[in-house]
Amino acid sequence: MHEKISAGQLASIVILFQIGSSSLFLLASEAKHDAWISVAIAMVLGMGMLLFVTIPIQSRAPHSDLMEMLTRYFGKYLGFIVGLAYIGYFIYKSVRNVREFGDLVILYLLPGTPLDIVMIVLLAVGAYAIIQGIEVFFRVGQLMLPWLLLIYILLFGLMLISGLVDLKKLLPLFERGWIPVWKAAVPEVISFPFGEMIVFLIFWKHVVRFSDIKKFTLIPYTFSGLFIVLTNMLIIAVLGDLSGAYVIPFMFGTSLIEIGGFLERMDPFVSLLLFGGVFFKQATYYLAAVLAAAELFKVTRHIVVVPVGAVIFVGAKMFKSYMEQIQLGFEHNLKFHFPIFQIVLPIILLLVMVINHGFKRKKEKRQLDAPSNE
Amino acid sequence: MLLSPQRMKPIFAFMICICLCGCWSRKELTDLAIVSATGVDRKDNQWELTYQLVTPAASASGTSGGNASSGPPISVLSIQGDTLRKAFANNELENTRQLHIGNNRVFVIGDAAAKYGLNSLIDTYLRNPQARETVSLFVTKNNPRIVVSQLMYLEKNTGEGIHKLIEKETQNTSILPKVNMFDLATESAGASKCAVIPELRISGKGEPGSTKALENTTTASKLKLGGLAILNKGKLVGWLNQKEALGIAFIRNRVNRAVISFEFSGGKEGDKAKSTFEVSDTTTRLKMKRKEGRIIVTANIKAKGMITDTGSQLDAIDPKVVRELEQGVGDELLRIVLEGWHAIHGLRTDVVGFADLFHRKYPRDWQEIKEDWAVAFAGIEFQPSVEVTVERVGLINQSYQKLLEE
Amino acid sequence: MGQKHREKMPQPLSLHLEDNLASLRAAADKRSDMVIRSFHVPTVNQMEYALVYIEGLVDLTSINESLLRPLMSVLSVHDGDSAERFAAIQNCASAAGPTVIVEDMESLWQQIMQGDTVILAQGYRQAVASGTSGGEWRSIAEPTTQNVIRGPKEAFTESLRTNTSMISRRLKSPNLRIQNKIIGEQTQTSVSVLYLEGIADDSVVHEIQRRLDRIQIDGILEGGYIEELIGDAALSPFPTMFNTERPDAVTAGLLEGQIAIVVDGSPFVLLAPVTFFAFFESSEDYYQRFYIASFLRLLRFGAFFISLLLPSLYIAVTTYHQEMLPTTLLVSLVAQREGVPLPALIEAFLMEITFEVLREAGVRMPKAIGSAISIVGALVLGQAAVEAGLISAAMVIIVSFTAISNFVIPSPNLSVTVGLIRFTMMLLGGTLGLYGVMVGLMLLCIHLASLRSFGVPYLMPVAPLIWSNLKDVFIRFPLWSMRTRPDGIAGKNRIRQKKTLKPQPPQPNPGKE
Repeated sequence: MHEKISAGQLASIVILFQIGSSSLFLLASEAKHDAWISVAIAMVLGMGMLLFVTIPIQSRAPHSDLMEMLTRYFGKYLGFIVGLAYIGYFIYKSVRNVREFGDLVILYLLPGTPLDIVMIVLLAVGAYAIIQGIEVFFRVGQLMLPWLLLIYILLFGLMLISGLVDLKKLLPLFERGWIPVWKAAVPEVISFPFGEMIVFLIFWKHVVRFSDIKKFTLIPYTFSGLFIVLTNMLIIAVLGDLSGAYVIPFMFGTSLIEIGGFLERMDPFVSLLLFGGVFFKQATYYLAAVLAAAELFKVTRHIVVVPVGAVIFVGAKMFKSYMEQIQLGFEHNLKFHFPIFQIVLPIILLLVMVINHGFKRKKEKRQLDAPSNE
Repeated sequence: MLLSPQRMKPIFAFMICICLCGCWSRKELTDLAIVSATGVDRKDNQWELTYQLVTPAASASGTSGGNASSGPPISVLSIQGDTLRKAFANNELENTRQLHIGNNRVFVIGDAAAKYGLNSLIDTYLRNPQARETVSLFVTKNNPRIVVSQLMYLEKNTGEGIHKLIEKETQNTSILPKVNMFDLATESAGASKCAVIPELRISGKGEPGSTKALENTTTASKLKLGGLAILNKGKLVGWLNQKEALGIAFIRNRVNRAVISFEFSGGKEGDKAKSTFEVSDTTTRLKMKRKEGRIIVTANIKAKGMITDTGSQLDAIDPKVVRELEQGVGDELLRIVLEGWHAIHGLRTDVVGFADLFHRKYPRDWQEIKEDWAVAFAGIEFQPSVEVTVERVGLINQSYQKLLEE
Repeated sequence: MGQKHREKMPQPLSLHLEDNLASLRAAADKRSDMVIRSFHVPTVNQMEYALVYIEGLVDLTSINESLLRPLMSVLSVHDGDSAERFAAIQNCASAAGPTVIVEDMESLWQQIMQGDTVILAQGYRQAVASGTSGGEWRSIAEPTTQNVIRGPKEAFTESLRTNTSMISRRLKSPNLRIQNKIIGEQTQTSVSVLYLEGIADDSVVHEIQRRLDRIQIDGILEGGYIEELIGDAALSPFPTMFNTERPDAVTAGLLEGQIAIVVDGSPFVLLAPVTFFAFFESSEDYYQRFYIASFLRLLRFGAFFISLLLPSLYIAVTTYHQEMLPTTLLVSLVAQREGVPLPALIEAFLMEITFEVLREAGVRMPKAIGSAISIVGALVLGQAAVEAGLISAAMVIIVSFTAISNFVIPSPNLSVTVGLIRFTMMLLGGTLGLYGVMVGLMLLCIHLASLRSFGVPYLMPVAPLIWSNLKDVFIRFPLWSMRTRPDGIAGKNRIRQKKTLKPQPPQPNPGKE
């Protein structure tokens, strides 16, 4: 199967994946109204990670994905185990998104509908996209991106017009100094959403021209990063100190829009954004898990789609409550678990690669030298 | 391939079918009782909620089916409960339809409830997605139940009517601001913890509304906007009259348009008559500084507008007269602002956002002073200054009074 | 094609005319329209001849005047040896039309069926088939389904040759290729594949040929057969080939590198490969000024979404998200629905089905009764049902606006598809509210993104994104700005026009006064 992704499609999915649902939430809410600074810091750090670790890994093995690299460089058994762990990580990420989305849909749109149904429907759409293949999935991303951005811009515009934005709420900067701002950024915001770019190690090998990868990952990454910073600023400028209290501050901000007596209640548009964002994030992880599992167990992709979906569904049901999911995510996963997959393992992989390459070069040199010695 | 795309299709079709089996959160339109205004009060240590329900057939204009309005366009339902949501839920015991609060535009709070504290009300509103945070808030000294049951001329839907009333008032005279639940929440949670809510009252006898009363050209009781209620930490602490409210509005820079009447001598001694100045554009700039431990706030109010009537003799072409006019308006404006300032200063309630000003200017000192802001506020020295520009004097340059004299 | 049924050895013609005629008669047993005209020419040998043709398929005047008369006069004077005489017969036959020499019964029969007249003569194992095909065809008329205000008013007819001639009249390029195929074991339908050499993508041409050759079926009665047999995404409700009855549309398609398939007996010509957006284009877009054309395009896309989503959004909003409605609207909707016995979803379904029934009836009804339909539809079902309180007036408005929007989509193919999907959307909207509608839209997007038409992604200029092609999708750019042919459809020759076509005011020439 030679599925090819164009550079533009890669860029679209990077943006959708990064924006995902993160622009709806107030990231780094511990930093209060300086949260956007934390996000900006995290974005720069994430960019460094991308530039110096993730992309170099891919460029050392341009035609293989993460699973192939792991088995090649970590050896058959260790590679398999680490690969398995990565599949678990992807699935868990997807689980969190699905569960979060399910809860929010019930809160905002469909009180009374069973959680299972909401989640099954979301997963079914994801599975349908994944069965169609990487190419189609990325193409759908390209199709949806302009619409999502359009709605965002529309909502931003409406917020500005209706006079909700008060930039004074962003002041004073660094009220409690640098430390809380930095603490809020590291490692939480790096883990979510900026460090998540690690998942693209699965997809990059499908890009038509390898030389495009760097440019068409970094530019969209920067764009989406700035976009998230912007939405964060906007949320604070609208809601002020209250913004940390809301589940989806962006949704709340838009529900305040009142223009001309008929442009009110924009929440459905926001839930459309939420759906689009979460869908792509969830499905990207789902797809990554499916591709990784297919690669690792050497089976065709279609066989693993349903089992992986089922695991995600069951996983999402395991959380007792919405609060537990949030608590687990923000208190434990972001600080301790995700950085392993997003930072530690990639760095180890890169080191192994570098050493290996050096080794090989030496070996080659030796082999080259050997005949001359004879 | 075991699960090729083609074979998966029936599975998806099946899944869709599953979804179709239930319509869990479905609410048909005819199952709804649309709430257009809500009243809340404390009674017997319980919350009392009063809902003004729209009677669709009587309210909708020109509907087919059913003959024209055969009853009042609204009906009122009162329920009690320990908590607000409990009271809300208790409606199930007496109401055939589900209360739909998504289109509620007006929330009238009785002063007993306002004195008790509105924090649980704000919490309920922010927590539940159905309610709109853009609902207009009012405090009333009357019984909210009676207030909500009033009918209006011209407006069939009273809730919508009250909403329009305050919106129009904020736009045109700016004495009372339109305050919604979100404003109340942010202000109460803000630096100063103080907020304002306009007053809605019944003039006249204060009887429940009836369609019979509407058959006359004037009713015995009628809804009116009153003064301004001042809240501290979500509790009612005092009232301002309309003049003081306008002063506050100027300090808060919330004036769109305002009408100010002032006395003007018109050049001749002893010839004092009232004139009207309509403010069409105004901005207030607040500056804070500290001098010898005292906090000084200067307010620079710039107002532009036109003279719309005068009883005195004036020749507005004359620049000297214009300057005098501006002086006269400025004096009156200053008086209004100071009156408002003294009122809130006396109540020690910082509804004008000086706390935010301090917070932004001196973030380090704020942490210490935060707890005792009320004390610090009482010590603030307020120095307003006014710049008035009379841009136009209307279609006649000289006053009619002067024309008569000549 | 058709290798199978010729596996048995073809029966050669007999030397004796009588035997040949006998076997012809046997083959055409109970076939009353076959005419055998025997005659002998009074020469020395008293040679026997026969003309065989199918009545109605041939042009009788051409047979009588151009074939039979010269034939008789030539044969009566000709008295040479047999080979010479046969050459003379063939010579004469050429006067009426192109000739073919047949040697066996099978091909003889085939020629007759195509409207040729076969001349058989005593003592020859060969026969001459002369192209006298003619007969009655519907004449060229105005298009019935794709009308324009400005632009050519002629439409294709059922005759293959007329149709190809209409295209070649517009496209005089020597690069125009017209390849014929006979498909259908029983119907022996002629199918022509038209493309512009160098402009069409060779691989697509080969692919279409290959797929056409694969067809083994008893009959092809319309392009629809071909479309269903060779189109991609066999299970998709979306058309992956474009059909039109306008020669100018086909010509424009050929110029963009598309390939046309003309089927004998059908006035609809197929174009492939197509993208989804082609179904929103009307040939008139290129005859109007581009502002107007762009506005109309956007209007059509708007109408597409309205037609797809309006009822489902109405259901979703009125049964799940009432708070979205302004109070006045909500109150008036509630007042209307007061007393309506059915839930909104069922109400909408009934109304939509009623509309579809009315539409189908309108198409099938004889024209004379057609007006009765509108009376029944508008008065009885609309007004009376509302007055009786069976349905709400708002629903009637929604359904009729949806229906009218549906007619705005220029391609009838797509508008029927949209109608089908609308029902699914309504179900989703009625069960999961706006979430359901979004899910439906997402599924639709995924499905559309997965489609291909002869290797070309269905949503092409948008996903995958090709900037230069976007000049002719949502907004039609001025003609002078569209320099290249659409990327991805056209083959090697991409440049469509000169760079400097934008009209400029005449430059003052310094040399002259």
